[in-house]
Amino acid sequence: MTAVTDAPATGRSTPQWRSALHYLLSGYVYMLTLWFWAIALPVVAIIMFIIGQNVDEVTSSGIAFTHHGALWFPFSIAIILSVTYLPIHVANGMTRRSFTRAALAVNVIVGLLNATIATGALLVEREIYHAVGWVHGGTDGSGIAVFNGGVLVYLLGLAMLFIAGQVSGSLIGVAYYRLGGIIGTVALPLCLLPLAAVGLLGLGQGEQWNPWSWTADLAPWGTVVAVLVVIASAGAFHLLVRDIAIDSKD
Amino acid sequence: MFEGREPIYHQIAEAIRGEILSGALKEEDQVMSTTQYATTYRINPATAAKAFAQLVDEEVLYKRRGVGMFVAPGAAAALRSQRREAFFAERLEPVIREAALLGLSTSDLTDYLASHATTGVSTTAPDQTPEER
Amino acid sequence: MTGYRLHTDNLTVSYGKTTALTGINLDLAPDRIHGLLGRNGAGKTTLMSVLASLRRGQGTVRVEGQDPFENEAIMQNVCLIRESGDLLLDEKLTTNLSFLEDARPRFDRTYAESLMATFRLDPAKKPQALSRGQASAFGAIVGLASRAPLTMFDEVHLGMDAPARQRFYHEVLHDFAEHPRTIVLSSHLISEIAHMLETVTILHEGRLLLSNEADDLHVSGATLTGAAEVVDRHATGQQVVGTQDLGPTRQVTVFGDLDEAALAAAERDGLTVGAVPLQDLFIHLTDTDRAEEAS
Repeated sequence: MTAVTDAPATGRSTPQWRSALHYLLSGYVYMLTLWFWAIALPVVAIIMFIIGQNVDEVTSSGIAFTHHGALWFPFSIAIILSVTYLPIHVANGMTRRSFTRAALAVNVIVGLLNATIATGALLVEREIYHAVGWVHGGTDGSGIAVFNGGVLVYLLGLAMLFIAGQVSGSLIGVAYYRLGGIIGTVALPLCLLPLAAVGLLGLGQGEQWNPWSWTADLAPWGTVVAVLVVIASAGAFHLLVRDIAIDSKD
Repeated sequence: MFEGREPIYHQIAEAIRGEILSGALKEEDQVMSTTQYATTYRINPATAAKAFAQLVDEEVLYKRRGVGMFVAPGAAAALRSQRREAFFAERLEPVIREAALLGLSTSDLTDYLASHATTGVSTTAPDQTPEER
Repeated sequence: MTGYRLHTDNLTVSYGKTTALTGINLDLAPDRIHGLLGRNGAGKTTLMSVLASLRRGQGTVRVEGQDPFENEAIMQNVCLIRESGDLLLDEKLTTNLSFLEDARPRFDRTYAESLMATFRLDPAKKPQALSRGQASAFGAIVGLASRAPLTMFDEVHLGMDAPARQRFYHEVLHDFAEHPRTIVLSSHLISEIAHMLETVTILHEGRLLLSNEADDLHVSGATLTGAAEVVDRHATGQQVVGTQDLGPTRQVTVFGDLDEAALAAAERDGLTVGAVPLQDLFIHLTDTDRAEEAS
């Protein structure tokens, strides 16, 4: 009976990290990303509409506020992936290496995706602001235009920030899973380094980064350092994952 | 099932021999497949296969390629003659020893057998008598 | 031949200061059903975790001649079913099956779905909505349908009720006969699986107590029952692993390289010589408290 339905014994054609990436993106991330924007954009539109009824001239972007959500929501998803998906991944016969690859690919893809959607939404918002005669400025209310430093630079800066946030999340998750609660908590500042580096150093060009103008220009080579820190953190993530023991009780 | 001390496959082979002797399995009857036997009695398929292999070796069963295992022609008769040879040594010897321990004489035994044989055929003794002709 | 061969050489596994396994030398042949027995904490789960690359030990571990750890070609074909499940908890069972279909090269979706019907599982349910018995059944389904060349079931059927366990045993034997592979069964319900096993490996307190052919093990044990002094007379010289008294009647369990002639003599002296069910043998060999009491 069952002999007829014998599955091909020749093995897979897709490498494990690709099938994991496929699952994570389709089952998890696209859904969550799209849901996030499907909620965030109408909420911003409604709030801005209400504010517009009561204020003569708006001087700060509404969309820019969603950056917080687009940063911290995937950050927490990245933690969850490390803590809950990693053991399932390995226990179902997939290598740790393929998890690391898939998780980092998710971080980059989702970071770029969110940055692109956010920038696109800002562009649309800018047109609306111009049409109604408002000032499309940063959230600090200084009146400096959001895209003061150029749209592409803004997009890249945002993508870097979102990616760094998720790398931090991935690291935090695996640190807690591997090292336990106490050491995991002690290691929190280290795990947050990518985010801190991008936030404080990489986005230091105050003029083009109005939404977080408090990130003063600490160093002229900040962006390079920030990128290096993110890459080093991805390396640390790999080192923590590569021989991690998956829980078993006996 | 399988409570004896012999290896399980011996016990399975013995059970099949018993079915052939009792007539439950007749010559040219198909016996269960290894898989059926394994799942029915919840034993390892390799154990069942070992038992079948032993019976094929003894020419009690034979294999029809792609179809299954069948009771060999003459298997019952062959088994019966083997059993007859073994009967006195393996079955009767211990009885006689036990009888000696209990102080029963040979005539006690023959008397019993003589009286039992007349009643036994008609009422009890279901094991070997029906096909004994 | 599709099943994997297993080999460990001086395998030791520690969790911090506690040693879970010490110097395990084990060889398990491919395409057989192996039983892995041991009391709680004996190290069964640890051993299977190492074989499934969930953790690393010291010493040598070989699955089909290769180090399985982070070995994609081996790991994808090694399936350990644990009671914890290892499922995507917030996804439906059917989505879990799709995930497994991607993860397991030999996964048979059609078979999985027929088993879902057999065990009456609703594919639209999520793992957290399952009862313990249903969760066990789903684990069994995953293990069977993955058709992995090395499939290990770690107490997976403990949560099932008796009829479900019967179905599980039936499916294991049936699918194993049709698709031979290496299967390792670990269970406390020894009497239920005893005759399914071709080999028996017993771990005790992190060490390998024995690893034998089930047939050999079966003939290595015997019980002698009868009057105490007669039993004692016949038991001397044999390795006695258990003694039980019921009034004047004594039953001893002997184990090892038994002297068949001596057993026959015992029978002639009126003793009942019986087989030792695997479960009893296991209890005798691993009940250290009682063994120490006796010595």
